[in-house]
Amino acid sequence: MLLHEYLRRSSRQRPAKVALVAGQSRITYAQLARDTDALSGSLVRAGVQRGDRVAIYLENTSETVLGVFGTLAAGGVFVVVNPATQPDRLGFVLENCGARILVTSHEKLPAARQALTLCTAPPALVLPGTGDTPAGAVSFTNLLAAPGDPPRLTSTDVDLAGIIYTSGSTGKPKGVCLSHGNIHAVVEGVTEYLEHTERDVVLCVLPLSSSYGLLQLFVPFSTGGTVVLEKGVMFPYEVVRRIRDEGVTGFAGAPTVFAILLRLEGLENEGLSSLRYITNAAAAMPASFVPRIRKAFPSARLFLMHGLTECLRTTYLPPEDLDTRPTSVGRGMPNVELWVADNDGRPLGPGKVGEMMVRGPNIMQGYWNDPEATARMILPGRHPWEKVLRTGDLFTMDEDGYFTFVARSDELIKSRGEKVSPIEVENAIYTLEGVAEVRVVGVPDAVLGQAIRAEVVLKPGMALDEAAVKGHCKRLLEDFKVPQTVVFVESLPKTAGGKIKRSKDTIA
Amino acid sequence: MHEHGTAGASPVTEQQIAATVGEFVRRNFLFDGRSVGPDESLTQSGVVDSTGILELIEFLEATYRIKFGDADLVADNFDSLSTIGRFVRTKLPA
Repeated sequence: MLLHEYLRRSSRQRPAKVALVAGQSRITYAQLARDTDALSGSLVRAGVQRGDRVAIYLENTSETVLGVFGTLAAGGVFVVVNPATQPDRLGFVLENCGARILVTSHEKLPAARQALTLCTAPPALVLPGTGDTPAGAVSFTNLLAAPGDPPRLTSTDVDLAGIIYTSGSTGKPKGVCLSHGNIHAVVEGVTEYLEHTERDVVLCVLPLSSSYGLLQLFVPFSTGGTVVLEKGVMFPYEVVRRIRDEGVTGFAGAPTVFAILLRLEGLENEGLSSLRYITNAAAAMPASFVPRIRKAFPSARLFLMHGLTECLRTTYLPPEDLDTRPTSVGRGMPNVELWVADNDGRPLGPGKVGEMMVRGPNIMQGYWNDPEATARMILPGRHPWEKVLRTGDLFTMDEDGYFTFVARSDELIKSRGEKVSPIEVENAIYTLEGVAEVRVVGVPDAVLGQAIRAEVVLKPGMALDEAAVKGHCKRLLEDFKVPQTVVFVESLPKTAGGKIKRSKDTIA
Repeated sequence: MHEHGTAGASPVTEQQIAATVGEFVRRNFLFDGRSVGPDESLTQSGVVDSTGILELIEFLEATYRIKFGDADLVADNFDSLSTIGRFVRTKLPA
């Protein structure tokens, strides 16, 4: 099924139902379907052809949602870029995917303009509102107001729907290419195990630039439910209000989100009984959070899950198994086969540590314009017509098919659920005057998964402090890549060949 | 001072709280020597992110020996230096 058909189907079945609550606006299925059709028509008239990329550089707003669905209905491919992305990386992404259009906001315009200078063929700018659209930019509102029918598409579900950029081990972002069929397969599996229906109201605080965030849109829309969209969680009591005011039934979080929510001490007295499930993914749930979450939200079943952008979702732990298998991320989701393999791809028996492998309709088409990286992650399958995906995550699997995470197989740090390339952070620190050598490592952290630590050797006679290094990183990198700690050392351990030893060699 | 003539330090003012918080934000979140205006939104401008807000709240509770209730933890109370100054002031004895 094509993803934008979710809106059309739900709009035929329940036109007056609220599909999306975002800020002050409440948008019905009929309105959302109408706006999507109008936007897609305008995008096609603006030159978007089948398979063209439309980048969306926005917070979680109704325009982000419309941008995604309008692009899909135009036959295009959405590229939602995390709003915390710095101009250099945005420019890289726009250039790498050859974006034809960039939807952004007035607040983000200076960063967007800077990014456009890095593009050989800069995308056209689309900005919300009608008022003071600057020269060279098109108004989002005008695109919605344009009359006309949606384009007739000949697309099928093997066409690309979206590209999600994730950090590669070299520090350059890689674009994970997902077809309509990839995402739809995961939507169906998640709908099944979370038992989603039209009665569900999902509160989405996760960025729509992530696969976990996007699923919070697609799953409810596919079943005619309601999405309540928030720009992240800053203030925990706002979440309580939203759950109560909207009768939220489903809430997706990550350990960083739960750490903020659990700051509230009287959650169990708030009467949030509408909540029927809570999910955790992106990073392993700290064991100490589980009893606190259950106490705070007694009506909610807690699902611990694992996934990665390259196949969206792999496992879920049925809530009834949580007490007997507290350290497991569960077993394969419906229609996904998983196993643990050795370095040569051979399946390993129960209890053996190996890389998790994935077989199913969810595995990505590849990395955009990067056949070498694709060939490293996607391997030939059992039959000539199929492929399997490496995850880069080391696991054990028990006799019953339950998986327990062990470590990453590569040098990538996973912090706040985001992959971070130590090389990218090191390169940023190397541009700081006075730095002779630097090594960036991940260290265990209950909430972040891994915290980032930079070990810096200064050039003789140079003085720098922790704040200077952090500040420099903050200017060049997204928030989640800025080291939590910076230590100054006399020297760094070297290999026999004189290279700085990587984290795996030294960190327990 | 002379109106009441009480012993001990005079109560901290909204403006003093705002200045203290401004210094905390400058040291912990800005790094580049920039400072924030009294009415600039800390969250909208991206100066403070979600983990930073928790640090800020803990700083306020420790510095002023106060405890925020659950329902205090909403954007309206922590949006800018001046709103923080005003709100923390209400938590302190007169």
